[in-house]
This record gives sequence, structure tokens and C-alpha cells, in this order.
Amino acid sequence: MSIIFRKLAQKRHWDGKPWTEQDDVQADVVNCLRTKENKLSVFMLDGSSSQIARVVAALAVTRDSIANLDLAIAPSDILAQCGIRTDRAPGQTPDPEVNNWHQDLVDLTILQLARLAVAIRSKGQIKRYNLKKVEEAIRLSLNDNYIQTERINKNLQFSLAKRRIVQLH
Amino acid sequence: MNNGDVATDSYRLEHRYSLMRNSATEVSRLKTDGDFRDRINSMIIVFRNVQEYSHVGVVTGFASVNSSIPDVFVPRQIEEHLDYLCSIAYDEPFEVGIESQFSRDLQRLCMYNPSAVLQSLRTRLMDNSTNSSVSAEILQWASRQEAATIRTLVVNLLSAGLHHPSSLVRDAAASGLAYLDEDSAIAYLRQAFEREGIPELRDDLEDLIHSLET
Repeated sequence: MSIIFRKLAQKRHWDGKPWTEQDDVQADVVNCLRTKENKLSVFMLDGSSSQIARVVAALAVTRDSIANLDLAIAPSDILAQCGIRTDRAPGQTPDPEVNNWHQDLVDLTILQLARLAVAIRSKGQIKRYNLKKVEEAIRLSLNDNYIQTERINKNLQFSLAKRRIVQLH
Repeated sequence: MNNGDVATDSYRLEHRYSLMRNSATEVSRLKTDGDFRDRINSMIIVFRNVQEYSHVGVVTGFASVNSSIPDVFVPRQIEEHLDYLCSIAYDEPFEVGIESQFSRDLQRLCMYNPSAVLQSLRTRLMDNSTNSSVSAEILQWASRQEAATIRTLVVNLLSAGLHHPSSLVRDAAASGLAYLDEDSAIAYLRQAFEREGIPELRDDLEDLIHSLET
């Protein structure tokens, strides 16, 4: 089953709150669905855990430090239910194959975003790759040569070297 | 930098600094680009000691900031500077793992008096006087401080964060302790897990403890 994968700014924004109804979410989830030019970046995957881990690693090495990576996954058919179009657009990670899985949700409206947020909450999953799991995902991608060390964020390289995940020369 | 640039920069800085002196509200609304922000950050610290503010003073101060940086700032100056940084950080969109302008500003301030900065931050955390997003960002920044001399202060700050009323801050504190990889982290996290009332965060804490133990 095909799924959409979206990196989130903060998993806590998706927690239930006393004032949120069952099929509703906190307003702060908009921080996780920031659009640019009415587009939202997602990855379309086959749903396998190995693909998810590979995307996690590819995104994690673009950041400045090792940290949790929060993500949302949901069946891709929610896009049609929300009336959302997609466009193929290459991603910007150091893993070329992951970049091929990237797509943009385009021509978005505020109503579509709200529906998308609710659909993710009700039909998808909000997950966290904690620090250790992110490290492991990066290690796997490096071992399998999906990512080259020199393409990792420079700020992150020293941190990874100290944790013996990469070797700097 | 030629004299013309200094004069233009000085005029802008003089104008902006006069706003800062007048009210904290003005400070929180002040929009500066990164370049001027860096200079203003430095100049606030310098000019707190200047009784008479003048155009000549700005130019002189600008030059002095560029050429020499005071070694130590008294805690009162740290407090004032943190007030300013926390107020302008309110609107900055933070993301876990991404260095923010706010964290860069904190890093610069910490160079001058790390103990005073961390102690002040702990006080702000405990009295809940700082916005929860900003507090969470403070904890993420703190956990990345590697100096052994301030390690204890960092751990104290993060463990205090585990008791914060905001789940965002508790989460950041837990993640920060995990990042430090301290021996004491698991004990703190277990206590936090026992106390935690939000199911999703409780699950994350359990998962984190399990990861650290294996």
C-alpha cells in the first residue's frame, strides 16, 4: 500500500488536548505543515520499514545535529479525499534514490491543509525516530552507500564522528 | 568597511538602539536582519556601561566591539540580554535538529559567562516566565553544549525541564538528556515516565528509555 511520508517539526503538536474533539487536532500542527508557494513537501513510499528508515536517514543528515525525527505517515489515498494534487519534484537530500520518492503537494488551500491534518491524525500515524534510532538509520544508509559522508551537513559531521558513525579525514 | 558604511550603519544602529532603550515592547517588535542583529547583540552588552549615548559613541563602540570583546559580563547584563533574546525568539519557527538564530545568539552570549547564562536560563524555566517553544529551544541548545566545566549546570537545567508544565518542554528536556548520554539520564527519564500524564509523551519516554538501555 502506498503511503505519504511527511517530516514534522514537532510531534507534540499532534498530541490530543482536552479541548480537541476526537477527529480534530491542535492548531499548532500548522507548524508541521508549513507551505511555501502553496506547496508542501512529502515523500511517496511503498510502506516498507526499510524505505521509511532510508528517508529518515536522508533527512536526518541534512540537519545541524543528531536529534529525534518526528514524522507522519498515512495512506496516500487521503490526498484524493482531501482534493489535493501532487507534482513530481526531486528532493534535496544526499540520497539520490530518496530524492526520486519526493513529491510536492501543490495548489494548496487552507481548507485542504486542515483536512489533510485531520486525515493524518485519524487515518495515519504520528511516529518518532528517537536519537538512537536516527543514529542507527544513518549508520545503515552509510553502510549501504546510500549516502556519502562528504554530502552530510558539515555541522553534523563532527557530531557523527564523535559518535563513531562516520570517519573524518 | 569604509567610513560611509560605518556612518550609515551607525545611524541605523543609533535609531534602533534608541528604540530598545525606550521600551521592552519596542524591543520585541524590532525586526532586524541577521547582520545588524549580530552587531546589536554585541552593542547592547557594551553600551549598558555607557551613560551618555551619542553618535560618536556608536561609532566608537562599533569599532571597539569589532576589535575587542569584554571577557566577562556581570549577571545583570546577562539578564537584560536574555530578556531581549527571548522576546525576539517568540516569533522564530523552531525545528528539532536545526540550529536557530536564537540558539546562535545564546551560543554567543554563553561565550562571555556560561555559568551565569545557564543559571539564568534555569531560573526562567522554573518560574515559567518564558514561552514554552522558546524554553524547548533553550533545552535543545543546552544539550549541545560540550564544555565539561558546565556539564553539571546543563544536566541541572535539563532535569529541571522534566518538571515543566508544558509537554513540549518536558519532551525537549528528555531528548536533551538522552543526547548527553549521561549515566544519570536513565534514572531521570524513568522518574519522568512515572510522572507523565500525557499518553503520547509517556510512550515516547518509554521508547527512549528502552533505546538507551539496549
